[in-house]
Amino acid sequence: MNKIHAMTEPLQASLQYAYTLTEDSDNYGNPVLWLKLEDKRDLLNAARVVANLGGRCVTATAYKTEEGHTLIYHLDIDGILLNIEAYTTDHTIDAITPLLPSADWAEREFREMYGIEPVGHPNNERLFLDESLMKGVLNRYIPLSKMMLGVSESDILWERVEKEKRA
Amino acid sequence: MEQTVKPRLFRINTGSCNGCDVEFVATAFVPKFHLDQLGVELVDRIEDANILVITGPMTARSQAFFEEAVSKVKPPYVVVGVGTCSVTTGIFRDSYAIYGPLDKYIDVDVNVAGCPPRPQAIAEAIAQGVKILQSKLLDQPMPTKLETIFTDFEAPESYRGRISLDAQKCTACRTCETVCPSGAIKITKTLEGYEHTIWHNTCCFCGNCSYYCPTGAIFTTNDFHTIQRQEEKYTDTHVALIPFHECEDCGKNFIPATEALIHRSYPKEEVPEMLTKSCPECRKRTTFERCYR
Repeated sequence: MNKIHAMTEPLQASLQYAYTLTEDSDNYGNPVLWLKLEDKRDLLNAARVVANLGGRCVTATAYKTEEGHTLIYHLDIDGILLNIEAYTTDHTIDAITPLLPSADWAEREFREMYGIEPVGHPNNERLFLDESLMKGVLNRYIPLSKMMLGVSESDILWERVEKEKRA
Repeated sequence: MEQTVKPRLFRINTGSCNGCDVEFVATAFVPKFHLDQLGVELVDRIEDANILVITGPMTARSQAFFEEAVSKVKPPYVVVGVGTCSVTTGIFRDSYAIYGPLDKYIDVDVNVAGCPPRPQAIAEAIAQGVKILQSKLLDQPMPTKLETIFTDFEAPESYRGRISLDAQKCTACRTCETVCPSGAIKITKTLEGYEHTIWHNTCCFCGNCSYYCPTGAIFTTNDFHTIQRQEEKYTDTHVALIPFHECEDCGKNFIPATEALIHRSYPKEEVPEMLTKSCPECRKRTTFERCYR
């Protein structure tokens, strides 16, 4: 328990805006912390604490909401998982890579797949997406009806097949 | 046939999963596939090549490299597209990172579908490519018939080759159309019944259709001959008609349950006669009338 206390205490002291911190555990009984930030500016403060405690970024996930994006950073401090949830509505987030280099790829993935710019990220190169593809490809949701009824490469090819069949 | 030109072969991977490339390596280096009998030489510079073997669905990443490489080849040359990805992009179609199929970027001469194709099929495609190359060089008419080299070879029974359909067993339930990951099956309604089309060139030979078919109507054969000339790309289909039957009560068209399906539902009992003679609406009505009389 002391281990968790050693984490939560500096974390709570560093945060300037409203937040909720909940303690949970996974199926194996390992403690897991969830930190929900009301203001994304607190992200850097939290990341600094994690860096000071010798933690690392495991991965980060993003998903689209109606107003913008929800980002969750999954950080690990000596075997305890700390999940930081933040919101952004203006497609930017303060990059934590200068503090935690392990977040490098995850934040570049935000940039490419969701069009969220990690401000202050040291590496501006594309991670894996080709230069010819626009940023934020996963933002372009394709509704199922459009996929089923809209014109796609499949339709174009099958049209040729149907035409040759009738000929 | 007399060798008038030395076929020099160069392989290009346009974002393939390497499945086809592994099969190509097997084709090129295992003597039993007879590639050396064709006098084929593998070259390591594209400038020297006159046969291009291309795999992959043309990903966004590889497209610029591909165009740069291909600009160095001196005509005349022959292009052999290996694998379903290069022919129609198969399961990767409509992805944001896929720019293919291959024939958007280069004039393809021979296609060989498969996921991956058998080495024998690749060898047949290359043999065909050599013939086309000779015709191109000597200004002869293009060969119109494809020759199969491996006539005495049979793939194992369990091999998943070209898909076939037994129209007698099919009930046009559309299960195969739904489960097909590469969109190779299409069922369309016509005046006479349902037309079931299998387009071999986009099939990934996964066998999902035969696995899920409730009556065993659609099945994989061990036929591995999937080579086609480019002109046959859109015509290599298996078309079957599942005809309508006329309902004996109301005269409307309907698709009756096939014998294979009935046998599954009534393995032991006697089969109600109206199953094959009346449409679902009339059967419903008859049943209700029987209940409330």
